[in-house]
Amino acid sequence: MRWHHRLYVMLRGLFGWSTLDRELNEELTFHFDRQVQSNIDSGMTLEQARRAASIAIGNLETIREASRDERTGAWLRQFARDLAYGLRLLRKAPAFSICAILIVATGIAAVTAMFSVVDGVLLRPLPFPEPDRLVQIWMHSPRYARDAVSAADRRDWQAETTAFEGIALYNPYANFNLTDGTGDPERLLASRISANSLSVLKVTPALGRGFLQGEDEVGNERVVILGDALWRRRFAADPGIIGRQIRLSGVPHEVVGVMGPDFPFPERPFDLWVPLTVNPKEMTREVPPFGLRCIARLKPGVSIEAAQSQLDVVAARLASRYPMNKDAGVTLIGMQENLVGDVRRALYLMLAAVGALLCVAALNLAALLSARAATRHREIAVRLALGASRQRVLLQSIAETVPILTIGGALGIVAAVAAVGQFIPIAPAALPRLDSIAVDRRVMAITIVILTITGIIATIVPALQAWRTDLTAASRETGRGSSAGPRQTRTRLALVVAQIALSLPLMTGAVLLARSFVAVASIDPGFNPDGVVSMHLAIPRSKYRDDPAIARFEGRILERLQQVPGVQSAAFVNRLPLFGVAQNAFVEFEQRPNEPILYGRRVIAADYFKTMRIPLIEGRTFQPVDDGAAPIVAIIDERVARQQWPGENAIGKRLRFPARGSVDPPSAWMEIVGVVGHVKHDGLDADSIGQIYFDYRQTTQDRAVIVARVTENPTAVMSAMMAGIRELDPEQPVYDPRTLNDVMARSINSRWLSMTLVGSFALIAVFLCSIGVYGVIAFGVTIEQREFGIRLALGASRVGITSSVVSRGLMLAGIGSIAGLVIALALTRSLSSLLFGVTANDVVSFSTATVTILAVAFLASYLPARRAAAVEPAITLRTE
Amino acid sequence: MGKPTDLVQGTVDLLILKTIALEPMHGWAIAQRIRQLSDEILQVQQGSLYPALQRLEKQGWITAEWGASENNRRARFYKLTRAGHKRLTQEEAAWQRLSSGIGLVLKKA
Repeated sequence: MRWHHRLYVMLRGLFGWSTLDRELNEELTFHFDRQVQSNIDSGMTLEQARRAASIAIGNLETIREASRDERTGAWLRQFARDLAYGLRLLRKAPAFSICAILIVATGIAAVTAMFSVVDGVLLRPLPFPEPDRLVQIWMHSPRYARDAVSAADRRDWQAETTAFEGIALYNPYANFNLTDGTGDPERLLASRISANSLSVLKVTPALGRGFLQGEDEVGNERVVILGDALWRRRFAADPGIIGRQIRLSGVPHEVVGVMGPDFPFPERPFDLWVPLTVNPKEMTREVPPFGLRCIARLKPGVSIEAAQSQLDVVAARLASRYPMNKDAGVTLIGMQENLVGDVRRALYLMLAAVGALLCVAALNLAALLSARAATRHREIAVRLALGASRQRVLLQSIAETVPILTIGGALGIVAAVAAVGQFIPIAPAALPRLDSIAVDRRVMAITIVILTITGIIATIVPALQAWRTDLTAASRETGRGSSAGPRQTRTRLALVVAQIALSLPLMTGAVLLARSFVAVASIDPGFNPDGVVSMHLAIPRSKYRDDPAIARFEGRILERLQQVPGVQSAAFVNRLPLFGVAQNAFVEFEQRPNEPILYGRRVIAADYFKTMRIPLIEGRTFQPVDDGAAPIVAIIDERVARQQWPGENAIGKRLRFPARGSVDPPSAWMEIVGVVGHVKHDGLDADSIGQIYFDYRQTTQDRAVIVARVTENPTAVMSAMMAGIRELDPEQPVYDPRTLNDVMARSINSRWLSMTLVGSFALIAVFLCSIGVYGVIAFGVTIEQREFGIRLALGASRVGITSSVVSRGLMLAGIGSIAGLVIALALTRSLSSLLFGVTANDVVSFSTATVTILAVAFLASYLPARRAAAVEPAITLRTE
Repeated sequence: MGKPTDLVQGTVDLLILKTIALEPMHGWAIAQRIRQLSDEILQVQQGSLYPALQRLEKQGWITAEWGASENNRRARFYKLTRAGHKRLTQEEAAWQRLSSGIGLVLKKA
């Protein structure tokens, strides 16, 4: 009863304002007429009655005002009027407004964009039901902290533990060529998953069905589930696709299902999924496991620790029983943690950097608003003297900043949406869950909270100033100097010092990251990427049935490529350096007592070394005679040579692949014919293992990356090369064409990005600081103009005045820098994992940052200092 | 007859509530009635009457309706709600306590 009445009254107060006014007028008119009538009744003339009634009623407008003030929503209407006043103020001082709005927009854009990344990657739960119960299972050995899982072990885990609802296996590397559907032949990103995967994830396809029990056995596996994007792109979202056959790398598969759009498994959205089949000999442990990944769903209420200890027991038993499991342990980790654990620290550091920038922006805005409030000090004093309440004055000073915050915030969000759109395509490959990054309602809600906090920080100083306005002091002061008490000036100085103290750590971090980037970028990769292009090739075994057929096709491709104008030399390699994929193999050496060692295994065409400019140190490269019929020969890199035969000549020595399990015998011995330079394969800043090269005709693989040294415009030559290959086989997809410089840049993309981001945050922060310093110093100079005049008249030198003003700016920067250095020293340690070639307390970085800030402060105070020194004593003294 | 006494805010509210407790009345009549009942001692100025009516309406103690006045003009009639009756009882009790307290002090001191 009460509440809906209140609601009705409030709604009327807010929206029925004009009706209420009209009714009040009518009521007051009635009252007046009734009084006149009553006066006439008691014997007055009409004239007299009217006058008496007027006197009795008093000022009608006052009654109206008082009545209005009693209505609900009255203060809201007042606030709306203040807002309109705030907007008018904005228009009146466009320079100030644009400046303030840009400050808000910059801070909000940076923080929104960064938070959307942090939210999408780290905070948002995985899009599977009850994601907290999903875990990733890794095996570990003394050699690898995270090693792939064996299918036989998984079967034993499932049978001998009670912690899991289900354990699924998958292999994320199972790509196919697709020629069906619309468009050019395409290389698809596919994953092989065990038949129970979808039920472990508790996800069902949007269309059709998941894989059935038994479809992951050899002979039944020719079925496929399409991803939403592929289904739309290639098959026009045709629901009739279910039950149809499509050819994957030439092999027909029946489409049984289509997944919904939000199915990032494993780790990101795939084009399609096919059943995972396991070699029966692996299940009997006759052959070593083919590395698989493993996820599991815990039963409700089972903790990761409990599941881990159950698995530990099984693993220990398996380790004592099977030689293959010797030293093998099992690690459980939450599925989301497994995905994002590696990037958490870097992302939070970026968020902290953005937070610092936002704080600087808020403090800067506070200083700006406070300076404006100071110039209106007298106005506020006059209003207070005329009877305005302090609450009203306070509310008004808040209302004046609301338009700035609203416009700035809106601009910031728009900019953040644009920035995130720009960022996703260039995001470093190491950043998982890109598909879940978005500036959505959730992010915007947080942004609005942050904006409000920013607003409070920025408004509280000028609002308090208005609140504390001292009537008597203000009215006593005269002239335009009467603007700021010592306390207000001190507050503004403190705001500037705080900005500098926050900017210095940002700047230091930026310099540290920049120095790391330069250190990494100047590492010699072991090859010369200039003028080299690359593109990928996967040759379907359904079409080229055996190794000689593949090698022949590859040979024809090479011949064709060498005819393309602009190609100087062309070759293959199975895995491109710095591309993020490797192929390693255990190798043993004749007459060496060592255990088999893991080395990088490269399959190349002879001109690879020439094309990449990898130096030949000893012996020879592959020759035409090293073909499929000849004995297999190998070329090792200098790192292998040094490790195996230090100080000896490696040429003529022999190596082989050791036996695998109990079925695969060791390979034949292969002679080493050459030694070449070492290549940084796994990353410029990573220590790569040694590499061993084989000729593609002798150990053929169906995956190849074409590299070519070109003399003309790489883009044009690349498309000519792709066209050339398509002439040979129109069904053969050639994909991911890139220059090697591009590949190299991408490999250090995350360093580049963190350097650029923190660097631009730092530059913006320092720029804001310079505005801040300039603001307070220039303000001081304006006030003290008279004093400078007197000092000059008394014989002070202009240089002396300049330096005294500049020294104020430097003093501010100095105090801020000392505080900033303390903060920076405490914080940069957490940057350590992102640094390369510099330590977290690198003296050069700290001093560069400090000098930058001092120099900026010097410049920012030098301009007003010159104005101070240019004062004409005669004129200044006369003006007041 | 001396000058009519001005009333403080809370008292006006109480007087209005009491005045309209019996029957709905319009603003002018309320002012008149208070004046008559107090033997012309109390005079509610329009400047405090109408804001007070708005305030009481906002609180939900009175509601207003347009109706015909005694001389057949459109007038706004105020009437007590159930919450208003309750409020009036409370206010009256409070007032009695206050005034008897003050009375005792004045008598005995």
